[in-house]
This record gives sequence, C-alpha cells and structure tokens, in this order.
Amino acid sequence: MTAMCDVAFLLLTFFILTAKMKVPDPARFEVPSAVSEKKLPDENVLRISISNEGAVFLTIAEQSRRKELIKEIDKMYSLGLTEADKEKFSLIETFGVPMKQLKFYLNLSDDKRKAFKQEGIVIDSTNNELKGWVRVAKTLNENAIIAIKGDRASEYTVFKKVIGTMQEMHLNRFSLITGLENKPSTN
Amino acid sequence: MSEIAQKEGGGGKGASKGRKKASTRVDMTPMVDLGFLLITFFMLTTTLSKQQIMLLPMPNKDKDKPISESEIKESNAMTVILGENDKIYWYMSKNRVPDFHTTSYDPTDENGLRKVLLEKTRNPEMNVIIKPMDKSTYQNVVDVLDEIHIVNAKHYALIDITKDDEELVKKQTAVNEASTN
Repeated sequence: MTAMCDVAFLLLTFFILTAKMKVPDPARFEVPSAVSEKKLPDENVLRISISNEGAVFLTIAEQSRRKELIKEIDKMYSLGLTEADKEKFSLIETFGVPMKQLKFYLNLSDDKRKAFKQEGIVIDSTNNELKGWVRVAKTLNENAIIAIKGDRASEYTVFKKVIGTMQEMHLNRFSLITGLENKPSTN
Repeated sequence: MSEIAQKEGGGGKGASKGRKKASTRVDMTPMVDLGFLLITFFMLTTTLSKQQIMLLPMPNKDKDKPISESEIKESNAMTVILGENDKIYWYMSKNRVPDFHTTSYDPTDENGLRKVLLEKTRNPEMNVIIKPMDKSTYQNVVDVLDEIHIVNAKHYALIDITKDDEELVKKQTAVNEASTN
C-alpha cells in the first residue's frame, strides 16, 4: 500500500509540474473541426491567430524567444522601448497591436492591459507589420513552423492576406490548427 | 483498503503491559483516492491539450511563373467555389453553364460535396481547385480541405477567385432563385 501510494504521488507531482497553465486568449478563436489527427509540436511554433473580428495576433510560446524578438523589432522599427518594456513584452504570450501602439500598450498597468482591446497586427499592403514580425522571428529561429489558428467565422479575406504575406517570404507550408472530429467512414 | 490500517488494533505487547497502545497508523484511503483522482485529471488534460493540426502546403508564389489552370487537362480539373452564407458550387468545365452545380457541406446529402468529391477523385489524376470567394469564412475553407482529406484526394490547390467565376456564381444564384419562385 505504501509503495503504491509513493508511486501514485510521484506521478501526481510529475503531472502537476509538467502541466502548463493555459493563458487566456485576448480574443475569441474558436477553431473549426477536422478529422486530421496530427499534433502541433510544443516548441518552435509561430502561431498566427485570426479572431472572429478579423484581428491578427501572433503567439510565441517560449519566453526567451520573445525577448530576442522584441530586441530585434525595437532596433528595426526604432520603437524606443526601454529594458523594462522589453521585459514586459517577454511576459505576454499572445499579442496583436500595431507597432505604433506597442509602447503605449506595454506601459499600461497589468489590469488595464488585460482589458485593452487589441486591434490586431497591421497587414495592409503598404504597411505589412506581420511580415516584419514573422521575418525577424523566422531569422531568429529557422526551425519555426507557421501555425494558423483562425476563428470559424473569420472572413476568408484575412486568411488570404496572412497566407499571401507568408508566401511573399517563401513560406509555403502551414499548419492549420483544428479541433478534433471523428473520422467518418468513406464507404 | 481501510482494513489494513485497523489490522493492529489492540493486543500484542500493549495488552500485556496492561495499557492499550494507540495505533499510529492513519487511514490513508481518502488521501489516496484524491491522489488518484488528481493523477487521472492531470493525465487526461495533458494529453488532450495538444492541438490538432491540418497541413496546408501552398504552391510557391513565384511572380515570374504564374500557375495557369490551362496546364491541367480540363477533364482532370474540378473547381469548387465557396460562396457567402455557406453556399458552395462546383464545375468541371468553365464554358457550359448547365455544368455548374450547387452543392452543400452536409455529408449526408446525396448531392453533397463529399459524394461529389468521392466520385470525381476515383480518377487519380483529378485536381481539385478550391476558390473561396471573399465573403466565405475560414470555416468553409477548413471544411473543404477536410473533405479533401477524407476522400484522400492527392492533388488540390487553394487559388484566388477570378472575375469569371464570380460571374458564374451570380448567374447560378439567379437561376436558383428563378427555379424556387
């Protein structure tokens, strides 16, 4: 009995420690379901999310990579972020603010930042900030795969713009994040 | 399980001394129950939290060499157009309007997309060309790609809609409306 208890609690500790806290998303991303059973890897994923209102968000799971990314972006776009700003940025997993709002967004207090409505990363043909983010992220981590998480109701035009942006950078392989659905028989 | 803890109640040395020695064993059953419950919970949530993905390879967008549909034989190309409000159309040949069909995402429908795709993809050379209109949703695109994975079609591509196709859809909606009135 004691031995079994020991093993059980060891397992319990293991699972508790390895479990990852789920960070709430800043917008609604309700993914469509599909039969595919491939799993998304935990690391080296550059996730582009499209909300039901068509706002585009970027997610990088690793904190160290976010830190590297913001350093480069700060240099490239001369945003004038302080070290504290960059530190704050590295704590935010999913973000979707235009470049010119980034400093303002990071300077908000924690509560206000949660309540702040992010309008999404800009992907106009003249000012494609998503391209900047992805290009820098991709040079920092060549193995990153592009995952797209779209809301069911989001319009195809936004998806087309995102895909088009990636294709301009010769990134042609995408992983669409889908929910689980049982495979029907085809006979 | 609880019996184990009570096995050494009184008796033994304690009884011989004349004083009943209290058992130091604690009934651990509820704690163990809770422990296993938590294990089950964490095991299930960790495996379920991994997200499913569907791979979507896109053609190289080379500006010098645009992909032309005419490279594919007409009999080997099936075009699926995704319209607004979950409407979906398909055709084999561009030039004949009677060849333009309206279908549905419903897998149980006799004329649904799955039935059509199954029949058409018996030809292993068949290319399915998906053209979502601007008003279609992301759900529509994923649904069609999903159907394609279900019927195991080998060649498919996601291509921008053209003016001709939009015209065809307009004509078809007019025909559909006329027939229902």
